[in-house]
Amino acid sequence: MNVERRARPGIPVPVVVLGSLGAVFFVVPFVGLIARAPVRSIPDLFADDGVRAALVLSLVTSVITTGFAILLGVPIAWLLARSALPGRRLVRAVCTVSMVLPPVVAGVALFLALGRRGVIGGPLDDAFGVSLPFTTAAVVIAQLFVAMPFLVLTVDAALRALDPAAEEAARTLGGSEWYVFLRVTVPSIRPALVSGIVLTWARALGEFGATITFAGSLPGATRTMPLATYLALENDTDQAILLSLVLVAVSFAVLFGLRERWVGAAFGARP
Amino acid sequence: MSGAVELDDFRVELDLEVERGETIALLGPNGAGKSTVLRAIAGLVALAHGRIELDGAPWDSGDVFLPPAERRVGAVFQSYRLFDHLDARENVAFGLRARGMRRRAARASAEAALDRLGIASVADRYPADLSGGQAQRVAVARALVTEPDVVLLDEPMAALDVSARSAVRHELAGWLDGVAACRVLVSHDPVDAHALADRVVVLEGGAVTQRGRLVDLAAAPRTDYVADLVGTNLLRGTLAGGALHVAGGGVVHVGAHDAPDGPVIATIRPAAIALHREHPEGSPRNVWLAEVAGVDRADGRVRVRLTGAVDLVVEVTTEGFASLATDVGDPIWASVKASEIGVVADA
Repeated sequence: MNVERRARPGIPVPVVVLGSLGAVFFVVPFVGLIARAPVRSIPDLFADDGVRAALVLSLVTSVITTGFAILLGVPIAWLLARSALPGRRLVRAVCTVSMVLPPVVAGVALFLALGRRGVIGGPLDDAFGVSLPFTTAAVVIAQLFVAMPFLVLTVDAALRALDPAAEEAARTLGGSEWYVFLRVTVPSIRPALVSGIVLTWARALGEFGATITFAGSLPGATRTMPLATYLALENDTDQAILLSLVLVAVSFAVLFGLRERWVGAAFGARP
Repeated sequence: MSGAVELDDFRVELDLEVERGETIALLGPNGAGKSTVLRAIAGLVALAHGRIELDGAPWDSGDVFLPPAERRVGAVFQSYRLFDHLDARENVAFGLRARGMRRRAARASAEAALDRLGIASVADRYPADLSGGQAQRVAVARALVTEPDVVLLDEPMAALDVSARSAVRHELAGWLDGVAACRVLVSHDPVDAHALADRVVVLEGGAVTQRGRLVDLAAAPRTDYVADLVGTNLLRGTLAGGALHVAGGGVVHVGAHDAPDGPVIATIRPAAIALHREHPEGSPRNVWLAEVAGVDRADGRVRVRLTGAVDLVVEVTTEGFASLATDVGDPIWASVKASEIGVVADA
């Protein structure tokens, strides 16, 4: 009997080889970035007002975007997963298509709808003198448009996979639909919700195309970290590399720290 | 309640009246529609027609449908359905909080309820850290703490170890006795019905096949399922004089009886049948050669299933069975006195 083979069951060699290759593919760009990182110190970078403003703007807008995404995206997901909405599949496609569009196209669409001459933006400007493009609000709108689908999709999938048993029990205990939604449904999909929130935030933080198209690149108002990085690439490569590294560090810290910790945590085994 | 529930291609038709302080057991095989009836009472599924009412107030009828939250129901579900993200105390307090009780008061009531069920010590634990018995008690506490008008119990013993069931059953009977609610128990185990219920309704294939007290069912089971449930042999056939011609082909001699000649149901208690390795001497009128088809051991008794001219279940003591030195596939003689056979007209 072949003892060796029995001792190491179930390792499909091609999968391991291809998987390892794929993982290396993800590592290489970061190695490049770190290898080329200038020796210039990070404090110098943050002494630059423009960089600080961009970083603050990015963090603030991405967090606000994530807040709106939760507020609007979870109800969208609920409607998609639970309601008898006619044409649900079409609605699902519409609510998530911005995720796969080239971000520039998303930006153009937003500009044509909400710009000063836009279908909605025009009347808005005429009636209230409100103009969205080239404002921080436009940054949030651009981020929300391309990032919220990540939340909608993960929460939608989780709601559809959720066994309604606990929710039914809650209803028999006198819980109104709203109470059951808040106290049972949402906690039951917590892992997917956190996952969706993190993905949405990460997408918002990295948003470039829709932002530059719809919101422009005004320092302090709409120039987020990705925009600052792209501009720096033209005249100060070192700064571009450092800005990139900061983005990588922030993103990695959140994806690795938050997601693993909260999504991996089993119910009941909390601190 | 009276009416029908229809789900896709499944339909349950049922009439049920439960007094306050009374427990009705819905017994039936898997897929009979027992749980569906509970879901209809709880408001988790609507009646196709008919009505459900409590003290004359409609819960579900032609133009009224009270949502679950507005029915004062306490349900203990088969797998308990505790909220995994809440500790035992918050699980029990859920129904009180949902109905608007303040947090502090709800927690105090929940703790008192846990204490009454002897599990005050697990208040801080999450369902994942509860044993099966503790989880069941939390589920019972959660269902009863809101003082519901109707208590629904869906296979409350099914998720427990067999060894734990009899003690828990006894305790559950005690807890339920203290509740002035209409109680409906769903089970496929007649022992649950015996310990917890006043009356039994048997559901098979979406329809009631028999109802009454358990002892009535045992005395005159109307279907094979009920006979099997109460452990009695059920023989259908035609009575002519003192001889019952069984549908399967055998002939059974019966003793004194009230039934007129014609279609009848005869019952033979498993313990009334004797088994022999050789053709028995003496007086029994009914002696058959059969084959051992199955052997189930439980609680010092052995139930032996026989096939032959008449299919029978026989119950003997473990010692008695050992002395027969028989096994599945062996031939064996079965005998029963004519006077041990009950006969009723087949309606």
